[in-house]
Amino acid sequence: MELIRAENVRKWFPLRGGFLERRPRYVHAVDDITFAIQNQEIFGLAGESGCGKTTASKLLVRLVEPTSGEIYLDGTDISHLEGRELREFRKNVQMVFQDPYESLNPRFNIYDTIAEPLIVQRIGSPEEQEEMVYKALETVELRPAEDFVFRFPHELSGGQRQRVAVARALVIEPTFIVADEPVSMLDVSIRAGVMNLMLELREKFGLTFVFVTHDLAVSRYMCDHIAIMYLGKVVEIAATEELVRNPHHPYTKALLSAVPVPDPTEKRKRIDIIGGVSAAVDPPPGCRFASRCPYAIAKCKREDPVLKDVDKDHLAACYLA
Amino acid sequence: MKVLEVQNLVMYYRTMKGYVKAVDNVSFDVEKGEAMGLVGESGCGKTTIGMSILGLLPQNAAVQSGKILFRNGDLLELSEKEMQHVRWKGISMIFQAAMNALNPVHRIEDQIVEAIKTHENISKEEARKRVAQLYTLVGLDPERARDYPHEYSGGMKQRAVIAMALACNPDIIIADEPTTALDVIVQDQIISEIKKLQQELQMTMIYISHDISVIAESCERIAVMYAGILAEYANAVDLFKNPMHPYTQALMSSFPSIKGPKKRLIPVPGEPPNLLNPPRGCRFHPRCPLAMDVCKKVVPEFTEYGNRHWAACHALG
Amino acid sequence: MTSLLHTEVKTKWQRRKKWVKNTWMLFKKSKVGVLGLVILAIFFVLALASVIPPKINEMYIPLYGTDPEIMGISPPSLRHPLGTDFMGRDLFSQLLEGAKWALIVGITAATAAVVVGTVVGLVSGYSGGIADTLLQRTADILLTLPGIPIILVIGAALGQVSIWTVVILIALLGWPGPSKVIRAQVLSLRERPFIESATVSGASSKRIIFRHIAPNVLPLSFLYMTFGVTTAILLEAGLSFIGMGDPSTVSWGMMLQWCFTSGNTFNAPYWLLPPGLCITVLALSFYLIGIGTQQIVNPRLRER
Repeated sequence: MELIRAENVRKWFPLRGGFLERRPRYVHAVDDITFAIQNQEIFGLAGESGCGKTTASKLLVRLVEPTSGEIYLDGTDISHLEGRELREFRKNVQMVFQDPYESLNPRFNIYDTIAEPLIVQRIGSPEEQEEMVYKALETVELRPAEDFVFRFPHELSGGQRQRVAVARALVIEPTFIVADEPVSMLDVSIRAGVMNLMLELREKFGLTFVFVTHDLAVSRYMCDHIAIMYLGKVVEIAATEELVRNPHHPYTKALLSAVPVPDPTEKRKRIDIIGGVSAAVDPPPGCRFASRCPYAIAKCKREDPVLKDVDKDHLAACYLA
Repeated sequence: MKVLEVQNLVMYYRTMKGYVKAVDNVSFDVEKGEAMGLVGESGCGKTTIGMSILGLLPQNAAVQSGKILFRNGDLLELSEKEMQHVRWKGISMIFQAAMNALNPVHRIEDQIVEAIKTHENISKEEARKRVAQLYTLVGLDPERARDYPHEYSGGMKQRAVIAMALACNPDIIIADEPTTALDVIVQDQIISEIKKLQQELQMTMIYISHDISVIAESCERIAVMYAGILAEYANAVDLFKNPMHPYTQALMSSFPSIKGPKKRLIPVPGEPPNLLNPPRGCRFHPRCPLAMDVCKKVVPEFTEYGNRHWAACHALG
Repeated sequence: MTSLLHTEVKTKWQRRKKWVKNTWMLFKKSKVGVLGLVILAIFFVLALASVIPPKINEMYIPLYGTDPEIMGISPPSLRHPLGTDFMGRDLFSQLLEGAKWALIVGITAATAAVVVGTVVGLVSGYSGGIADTLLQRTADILLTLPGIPIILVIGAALGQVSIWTVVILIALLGWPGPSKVIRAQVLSLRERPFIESATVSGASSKRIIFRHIAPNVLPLSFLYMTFGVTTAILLEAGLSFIGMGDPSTVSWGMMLQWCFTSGNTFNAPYWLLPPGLCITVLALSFYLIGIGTQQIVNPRLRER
């Protein structure tokens, strides 16, 4: 059952030119993306920096509004909600950010941090709120909760802070949580704990997750489906194991082949592609990847390929897939 | 032939809150032409060791005891002037966020030429020619040597910094997280570039990183550090096939891989210790599944268990 | 599980105490800051003491209490520790009264300026757009106006100037400075993830500005207030000295003015020096406190 659907969503940011620039230029952060997220699944948005995954995650929580296109939550178009409707929508969606040091207000103690969504959304009496905060702390395994509520962020470790961030996201019992690189800034031995926590939360509460990351190994561990993004476009979507074993899009193949493997005996076959990612300002027509693609044909540089079925539950945007 | 020997290095930082015992009795050797990896989480002391070798420690750091033997001398005994001779020519470094090591207001060629001329008595022309050679070596277009840093992409800057590190033909290169700030594909290109260079030039490398996958692919010998101690030091293949130290074992099951069967990750319980007041005895004992009484009191000896496989753990007997 | 709300309140107190203690520990580390605080404490005592002389003896009323036995200026004596001015008024009680007014004017004017400046900075920085442009252009205009001539013109237009007019004028000219600094701080805070998190939770702009951003900005405001007091004291003294002050209030600047206009600048150092020194030292003390506060406010010291 589908929970979230993004249809032809675009987010363009205007570049401020000087007085002499007649036609404004735009950064095509997210350019005509379409995908669907099933209820209770963990959906991965993966790609390198500048691919638009963070902007896409912000669109899903309506931190920004789409320039065009629609986003549906459970059938309702949330793309241009305002005022009270927007606040109602926010009860269903929460976010966990990348930086555990920056995503908690340094002047709030842990209680205030976690209680904030309850206060803002006017959920529960103060006594009920208190219970919910304690329950949230227990759920993220910060025990005993009493020890943590009156502490401040700088007294906690990175892993603990991130758990607080998750508790804050959970406390109003949302339908889905968007996690933007939630473990990238944590130590390796701590990451597993936070990742497993999110997997357990999905099991226990039937939550849906959108997991944004540049680390494909993490993506593979966490996600049921992965959408690979490049320069504002979704180039491939498939079930995780299928994507990893049988990638169709040349960029996905190159990306997967570039991921280092923790095995000294493994001889990786790297797929060479030239150059680095170009900026997404007023891109030329045709496939975004054409200039670096070893298989590009003339058509690739003229027309932008759209996502099409290449296999069961497997979409790719490539003429040669 | 041993190119570098670190012997019983003990180091601390003076901070407002007390002494942080950053490196506790670390010893290891590096053979000529070897790529050695120093891996561990943040705060484990790996960068500190790299800095100690080059004498680039901050004001509040002090070496309490130990030796770093290089070219028949103890680097820790050298004066600043003598260290300047060693740096760049004997041992050079690729820093973390190396792209910030390039001065934005000077042309890159000028910066490399300056580095060369500071350490060698050759003409500017000679130095420029060498820069061109280095550029070709690292995969950059020599025509672009006269550019400014902002005209380069992240990956290109990294290659320029590698060229600079190679400029004076050092015996050892220390690379401290050289690819952390780069995207996956560029990171892969740089790692293989470094590996190619290391093999071509038979260079000795010390590769510092928190990323086990990168270290596994680039290094022949791997040293695992934890909270200022050296837990294990072995050939890469041996370390992965047969990790001996409980921390290494725990680490192996705590990070995901893109290849191979999908297995459940097991986090290491607890938190890394505060080095202001590290645990007595073995620093890993509060988090160790095999901890015994002796672990809480006695620091385990760093012992060899055959085939250059060293570990410091009481449970190994 | 019993409600721990009453425990929370108790702990809130304990937390506040702990915060005060920690802040004091940090502040103590700055020797200049402590010095400033000590000097301020002395002046505070002087200001409080200003009520004593008039109560003891009518002769010591600063504004019009004259010594029936001494009709003009006289050097320090047992009766008048600092001497008397050209009308036979006791200089020491004038000095104490001046301390009172210096503190009142300084702190009130600076606080008013900083409160307005902070609110403007918060709203301007967070809202952006037209509100930001309007407020900042207003601030720019006020900043480019020459302070003292403007006050002179307004004073002349109003005819008579009371001490509170002076306070209001200082505040009016003083708010643009802090507002720019606060606005800059808000602009950078606005992008931080914890603010985005508050937005995602559904917090309104008002709540974000006053509950989330303001606490992070207030230490900076406090810092600007201490520097503002310095400016306010000096400004008031300057205005009084050139005759634009409130003649019915005895402030240090007025004392200097009386000394100057009665032609006693060079022959009565016991009249000229004390108020002059006091102005300088009190202004300096706030400045030193500001320096002492800086190292608390500076986020570099915050543990990561």
